[in-house]
Amino acid sequence: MRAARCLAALALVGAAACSGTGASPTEGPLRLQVAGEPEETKVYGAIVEAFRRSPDGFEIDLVEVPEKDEHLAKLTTSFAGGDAPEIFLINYREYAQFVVRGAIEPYEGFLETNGVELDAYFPQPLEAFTFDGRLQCMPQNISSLVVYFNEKLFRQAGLDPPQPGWTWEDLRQTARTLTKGEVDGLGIEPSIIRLAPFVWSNGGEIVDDPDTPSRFTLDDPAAREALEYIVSLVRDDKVVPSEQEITAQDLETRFVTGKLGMFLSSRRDTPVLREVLGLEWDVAALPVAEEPAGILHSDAYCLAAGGDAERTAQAARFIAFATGRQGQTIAALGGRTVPSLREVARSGAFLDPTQSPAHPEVFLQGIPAIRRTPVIATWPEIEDLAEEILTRAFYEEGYTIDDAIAALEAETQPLFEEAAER
Amino acid sequence: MKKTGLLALPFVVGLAALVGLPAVAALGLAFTEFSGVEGPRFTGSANVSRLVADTAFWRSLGNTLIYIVLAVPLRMVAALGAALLLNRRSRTASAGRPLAYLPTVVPDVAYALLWLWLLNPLYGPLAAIFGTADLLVDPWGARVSLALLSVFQIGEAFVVALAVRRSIPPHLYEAAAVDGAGPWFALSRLTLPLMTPVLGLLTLRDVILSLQVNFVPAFLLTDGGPRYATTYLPLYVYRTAFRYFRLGYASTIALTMFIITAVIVLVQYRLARRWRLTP
Repeated sequence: MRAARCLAALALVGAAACSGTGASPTEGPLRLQVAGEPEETKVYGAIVEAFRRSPDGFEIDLVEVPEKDEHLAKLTTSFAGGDAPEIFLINYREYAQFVVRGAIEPYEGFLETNGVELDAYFPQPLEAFTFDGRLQCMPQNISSLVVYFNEKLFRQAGLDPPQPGWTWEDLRQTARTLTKGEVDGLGIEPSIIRLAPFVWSNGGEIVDDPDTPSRFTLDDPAAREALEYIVSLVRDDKVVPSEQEITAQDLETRFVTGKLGMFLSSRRDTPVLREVLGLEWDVAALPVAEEPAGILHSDAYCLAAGGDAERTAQAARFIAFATGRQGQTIAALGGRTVPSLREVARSGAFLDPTQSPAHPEVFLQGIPAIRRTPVIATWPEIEDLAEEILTRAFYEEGYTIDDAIAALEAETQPLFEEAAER
Repeated sequence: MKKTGLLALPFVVGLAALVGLPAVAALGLAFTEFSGVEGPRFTGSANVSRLVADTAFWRSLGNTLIYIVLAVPLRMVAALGAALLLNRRSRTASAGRPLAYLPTVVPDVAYALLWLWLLNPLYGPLAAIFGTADLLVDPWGARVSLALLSVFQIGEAFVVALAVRRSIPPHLYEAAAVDGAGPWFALSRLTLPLMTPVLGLLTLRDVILSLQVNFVPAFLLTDGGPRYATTYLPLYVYRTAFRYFRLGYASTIALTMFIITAVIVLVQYRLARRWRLTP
């Protein structure tokens, strides 16, 4: 044990020297790190450019990372190396692990100096990015889960577009009608964020306490019924692409190539779908069981903690621009986001009738029923575990709903406990 | 001697700075809680206790050992087979030698992406040839697929085996032929026994290599799935460190990997010594 202590002491000195809690550079352009497809990230380039041209603007380097996992890995290593980007964009389901480790400078302290009026924003993402009673990051969007559908396949099947308030049974029948030959009716990923709105719509809960959860509650009858419904679409109705089909071609690609009638996703697919020539598509609200329910998809601009005070203040000024009227308008025109600033969300920049989808108001109409998943440090790991278990529930012969519920409870329990300890 | 030492100095300095020091630091970090974001905190043997109870670690270790059992024999047979076949002095063999080495120089990412297409469950040629869409969907299908794709990247083992084969004096074969020995006798009683010491070393090296080289295909082709079947230790270390911010615990796993590698190599070396397979 003495040897271990000596080695640990050596490592502590080395690691402490290397690990900063934030951005260390004191010169050069500020950096903004974002993740996404080129179609998604080009809008941030436009915002950065508009900011540079603004009266108080300055140069900002945009660091684009293609995948979310690499985005997080790059953030971790850059924080560990004391070279974190001054600003980074992150989803509310993933930022808590940075907050509890002191990596984020709360944005709340910069609201007044930058003239940010929180009343002008939708409250749900602000609440999601509030941790320990303080607004940590400034949300740029408030997307929710919707049903993307292929209008041509609907016409060919003699179906009318889904109407607001359509039911789970309507979804089942529509998917059955669309499923023919190479075409599957519905694309839904085996993940907790796809399942959750169905559970909520059925009057159930996914965890025992949304603020300080200690366990999943999918054994609750209403939650279990929602899980059974989703799994029955896969196993009994066979309207969802098989595991082989999904491995061969993801849902978006299947939708774009006319092999999928509907799929569930947030606003993030819109820019890519707009690029596809000849694809006729629109969006509809999620089907309803007992009451409408949606799930929040929101990213926010965060400030790295521990950096030079002046540079952090400059970074905060950029965030105010990006989440202000001009920045939000540029983002809305790019198609990627449902603006978190109410005024822009209700403007022509977002509700542009010349652009697909033809019914963008669906994203706004769902906002009152939007809920969020728990904001805890271990949530990303819990989601990963849940995805693996739900994949088995979807596709593995002999793996029952009870097996899935028991596995979720057992495998995620230590992670809920770990989060509670922090 | 002094001059040789000086020539080796840049390499030794680089090795010490870029491999030695981080390795020592990782060794120390194995006994801390360290997220990379905040400073490390000494936690004694807490990470070891966690490791013992971590089913994901044991599953990854099992997957890694399965990979070694599947991949190493295949790779060694392929390297030896290619060396023996392409040893001849003919135009075909001359053309075949660079071809045998070629997959090794293809960047790992490009190689993995090529296989992603080859193994595509619906549109890949291998799915059509074998008549199954389960190559990357079934856990064992994925395990075997990842082992198979490693078989083509045997360039270094092939070159060494070829060099050893060529170092066997031709007069030994001539003498065997005079005594009426056929090709099988020459292979089993002459070629293989003379090559065995080096093949033993190549096997040792391949086991060490196989503990590490599976990261890229597992990351890009299967993402550790299906059902965690291809979550090998390197991928588990990566996720633990960089997705879940547990660099301290990831260092414990890496240290354990190092110990496991050392034990496997030691056991192999002892066996080889007992059977007089190594020089």
